[in-house]
Amino acid sequence: MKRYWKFLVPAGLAVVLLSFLIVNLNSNLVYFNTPTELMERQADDARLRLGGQVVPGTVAESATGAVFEVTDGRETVLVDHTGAPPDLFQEGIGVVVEGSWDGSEFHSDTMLVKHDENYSPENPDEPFPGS
Amino acid sequence: MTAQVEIRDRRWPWYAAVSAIVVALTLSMISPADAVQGDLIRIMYIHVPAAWLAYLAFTVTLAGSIGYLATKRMVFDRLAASSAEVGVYFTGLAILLGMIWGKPTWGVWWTWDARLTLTAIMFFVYVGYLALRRATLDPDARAKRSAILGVLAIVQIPIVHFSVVWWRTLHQPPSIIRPDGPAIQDPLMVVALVAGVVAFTVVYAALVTKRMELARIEDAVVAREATLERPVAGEAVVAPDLSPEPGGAR
Amino acid sequence: MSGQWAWVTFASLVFYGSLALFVGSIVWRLRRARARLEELS
Repeated sequence: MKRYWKFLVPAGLAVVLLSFLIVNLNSNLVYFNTPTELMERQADDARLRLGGQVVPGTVAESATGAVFEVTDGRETVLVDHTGAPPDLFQEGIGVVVEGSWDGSEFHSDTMLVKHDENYSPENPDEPFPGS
Repeated sequence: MTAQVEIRDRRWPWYAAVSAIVVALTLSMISPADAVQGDLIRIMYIHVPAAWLAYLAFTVTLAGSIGYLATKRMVFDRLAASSAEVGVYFTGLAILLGMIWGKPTWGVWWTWDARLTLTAIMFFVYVGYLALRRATLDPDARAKRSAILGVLAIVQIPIVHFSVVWWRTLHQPPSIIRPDGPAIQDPLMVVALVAGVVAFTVVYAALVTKRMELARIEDAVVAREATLERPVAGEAVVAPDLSPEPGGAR
Repeated sequence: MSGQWAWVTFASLVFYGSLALFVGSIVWRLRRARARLEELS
């Protein structure tokens, strides 16, 4: 009886871990979709996560939040965001917005700033490091 | 065996750890602010080393586990256990510091992206490792079971580290170990991060040294208790048989 | 920028506080175990 325990405890943990991974591999491991991927799903009512770079020069304040364009370098989506954007929100930065399609516009109510892996000191000659 | 146990109370690990932290703290404070995240980058100089040291700690647990399974020497079991406990501390620290960085940067404390979710699982698997050790009393059985888990659990480290490369996550990909070379150009920033890693390694070594000292004393206590309690246990079994009347009279 | 320093300070406090607690727990367990070993010898 005791002999089984030696294998059951670690094996049980491994099974839990693996099944969690397999379940997640289907969808959740991809945290957000790109504008190119989401363009094909404009008719979809589902709640989606859209991620990309804020196009410089497109950010405008609106009565309910902000309007701006998000791009992955190929496609560009107009985002109408409701709510206060995070402090680091700015032109050229990466964002992940949560919401759904409304025609050809993306209506979001949750915004996360996706910071990239670049470290560089402040430099006025290069306003968007890493972009 | 128990008679020769004489474990010195070494102080130098603490002194080394404190000096390394003071140097790293100074460097992280005088390094320049980041162009995008500003002063928040200083949190990275403790968050990143904490995460790396968690990887190192669990790798040492793997080495200790293999060492025990190969030689059956208890010193390897103590190394594996001590390193796992310190690794759980560093994992928890990395998660907490990441949350404190995430709130002002991303806008949220936590989100279920691949890196964060897998790190949380890694934390709980190693908490499970420590729980398994507490749940098993026999030293040899405990050493063997935890060694098997210590070997199996290591598969998580590459999965956690490369999750940001393999899947699209909110968490940024690695800045140092990446195909295009390091993404940190400023020398002062590199120095601050390297100093953080060095300091945390010294802290790790100090914690594991002291934790192993503790494990040795605990093992000595258990061994001595076993030799002392054997005759007492024999009397306890015999005693009720010799005096059945007082119990029966009530 | 002062808001950012508040976050940095918070993170430092969490780091030093947690490290002190962890070191404290090891030192406390060491003392207890040493005392127990003394008691048994």
